[in-house]
Amino acid sequence: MTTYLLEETISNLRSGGVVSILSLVTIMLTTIIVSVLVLLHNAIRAEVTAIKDATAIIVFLHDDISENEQQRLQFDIEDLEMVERVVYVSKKQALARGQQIFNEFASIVQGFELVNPLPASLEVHLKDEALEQQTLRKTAGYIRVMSEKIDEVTYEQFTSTFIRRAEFGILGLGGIMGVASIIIVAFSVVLTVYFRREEIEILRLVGASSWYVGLPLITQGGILGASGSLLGVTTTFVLFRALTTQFRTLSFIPFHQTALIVLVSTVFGLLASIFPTLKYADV
Amino acid sequence: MGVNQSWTNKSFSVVGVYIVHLTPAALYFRLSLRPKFKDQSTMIQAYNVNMCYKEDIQVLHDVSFQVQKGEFTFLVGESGAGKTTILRLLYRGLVPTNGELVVAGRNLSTLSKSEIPHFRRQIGVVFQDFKLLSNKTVQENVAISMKVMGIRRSEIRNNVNQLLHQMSLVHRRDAYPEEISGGEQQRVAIARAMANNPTILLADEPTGNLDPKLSLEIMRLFENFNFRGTTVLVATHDIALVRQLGRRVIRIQEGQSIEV
Ligand SMILES: Nc1ncnc2c1ncn2[C@@H]1O[C@H](COP(=O)(O)OP(=O)(O)OP(=O)(O)O)[C@@H](O)[C@H]1O
Ligand SMILES: [Mg+2]
Repeated sequence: MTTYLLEETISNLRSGGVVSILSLVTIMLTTIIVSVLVLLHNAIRAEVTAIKDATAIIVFLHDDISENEQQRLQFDIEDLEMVERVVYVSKKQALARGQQIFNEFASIVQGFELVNPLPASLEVHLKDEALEQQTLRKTAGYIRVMSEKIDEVTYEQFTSTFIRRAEFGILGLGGIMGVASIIIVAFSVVLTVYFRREEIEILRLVGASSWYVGLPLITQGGILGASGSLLGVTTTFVLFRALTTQFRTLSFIPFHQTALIVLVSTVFGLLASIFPTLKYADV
Repeated sequence: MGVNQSWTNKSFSVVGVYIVHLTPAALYFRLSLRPKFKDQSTMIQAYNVNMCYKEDIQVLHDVSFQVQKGEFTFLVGESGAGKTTILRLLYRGLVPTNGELVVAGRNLSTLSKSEIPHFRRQIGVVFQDFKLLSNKTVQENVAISMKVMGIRRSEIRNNVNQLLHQMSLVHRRDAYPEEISGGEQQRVAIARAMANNPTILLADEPTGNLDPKLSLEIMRLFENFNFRGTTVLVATHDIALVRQLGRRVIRIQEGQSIEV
C-alpha cells in the first residue's frame, strides 16, 4: 500500500507537470516570505523587549537634591497613572554604568571618579500601553514641572504603536501569502484530477475504492506543502547566511519555528487537496 | 430460457391483479416483490429496463432478459442498438431511467455509492474502447484490476504472467498502450478483465479488432473461463462467430430485447 501510494503520488506530480512545479515554486516563495517575515518579527520582538526593559523617561536630578526631596519626587511620579515603576540611579551607579559602557575608554572615565560629572537620575518605566509618542511627551512634560530640583527630562522616541502596526502588517502579509498557497495547491490538485480524469474513471471502473483514488491525491497536496516549505526554508537560510556574514548579531529563525512553518505548510497542503479531491475525483 | 422469462412475467401480472394501486401495505408488497431472485442460479436479471440518455431520446424500451449462472450468452444487435448501454447498466456505469437490474445477487437500485467498488470487483469488463491506462505498461494494465483489490504482489505477478502468456503478449509486456496494435490493446483489455477471476465477464465487441483466427481463439479462451464457472456475456455483431459457437443469443432490436 505504501509503495503504491508513493508511486501514484509521484506519478500524479509528474502528470501535473508545469502546475506541480508552479505550486512547488509558489509554496517555496511563500515560505521564503513567511520566513523573512518571521525573522523580521523576531528582530522587532527583540527590539520591543529591549525598549520595554530600557527606561522610557529619564529624569535627571540636580546634584543638590536632598534624599527626602528625591524620595518624595519618586513617590509622586510612581503615583502617576501611566507609570509602572521608578528606579533611582545614584551618581555612583551612573558612573559605574558609564565605566561599563565605555570599557575601552576606562582611563578617561576613571579620571571622572574624583569629580563625577554624571548626575543622579530617576528611571521612569511606563506601562506598555503608554509607550506611545503622545503619552510619552505629555508625561515627560508633566514630570518636568513636578520639582525645582529636576535638571532635565528625556524620553525614548521609539513608540510601540509603530511596532504594533508592523506586527499587524507582517501577520496580514503572511496570511495573504498563506491563502494564496492554499489556493495554488488546491488548483494543482484540481488540475491533476482533470489531467487524470480518464485514468481515475478507469480505476473506478475496475473497482478501485475511494481511498485508492483519493489518497494519492491528498498525499500529493501534503508532499507539495512539505517539500515546497523545506525548499523555501533552506533557500532563506542560504540567503540569510550569505547576507549576514558581516553582521553576526542577527540569528536565524529558531528550530521550533522552522519546524512549525514546515508542519503548517504540510497540513495546509493536505487540507487544500481534500476539497478538490472530494469534489472533482468523485470519491 | 423463454419459459423462465414468461414465468416471471406471469407471476408478476397475477399478483399484480390483486394488489396493484391499493394501499401503502400493497406498495410494501410490491416493493418486496421486486425481482430479488433468491434463486441463486440467476446471475443477471433485467426487468423492464428503460434508458434515456437525454430526456427525449430513449435508447432502451422495457428491456427484460436474464442470464443464468455459468451461462455463456451473446448479446447481438446492430450498431447503435444499445448493446454497450446494456453492459454499462450491468456494471453500474449507468443508472437506468426505470426498471430493475439484479446482477450477481445485488439489486442495483439499492446499491449505495460506497458499495460500487466492491460490486465491480466481481465483474470483469472488456470495454469496447479498451480503457487502458495510457501511462502504464501492458503488464501494469493487466495487474491493475488485482491491484485495486489489494492482492499480494507475488500472486499478481504469477497471474499476470499466465495471462500474458495466454494472450501472446509476453514479448510486449513492457510496452505502453500507444506502442502496441489495436488487436494487442484488445487482448490487454481482455487479460485485465479476466485477471481478478470475476464472477461475471462482460465483453463488449472483444474481437472487433482481431482476425477470425484470433477471434475464435479468444472465444475459446472465454469458453474455457466459462467452463471454470464464470458467467460470460459477450456483446458482438460478428454473427459468423456467434453461429460458430452455437450459444444462446439475446438480440437487441430497436431498443427492445428479443431472445433467440
Ligand atoms: N452518452 C450518450 N449520450 C447520448 N446518447 C448516447 C450515449 N451513448 C450512446 N448513446 C446512443 O445510444 C444508442 C445506443 O448506443 P450503444 O453504444 O449502446 O450502441 P451499441 O449497440 O453498443 O452500438 P455499437 O455496436 O456501434 O457499439 C445510440 O443511438 C447512441 O447514439
Ligand atoms: Mg457498443
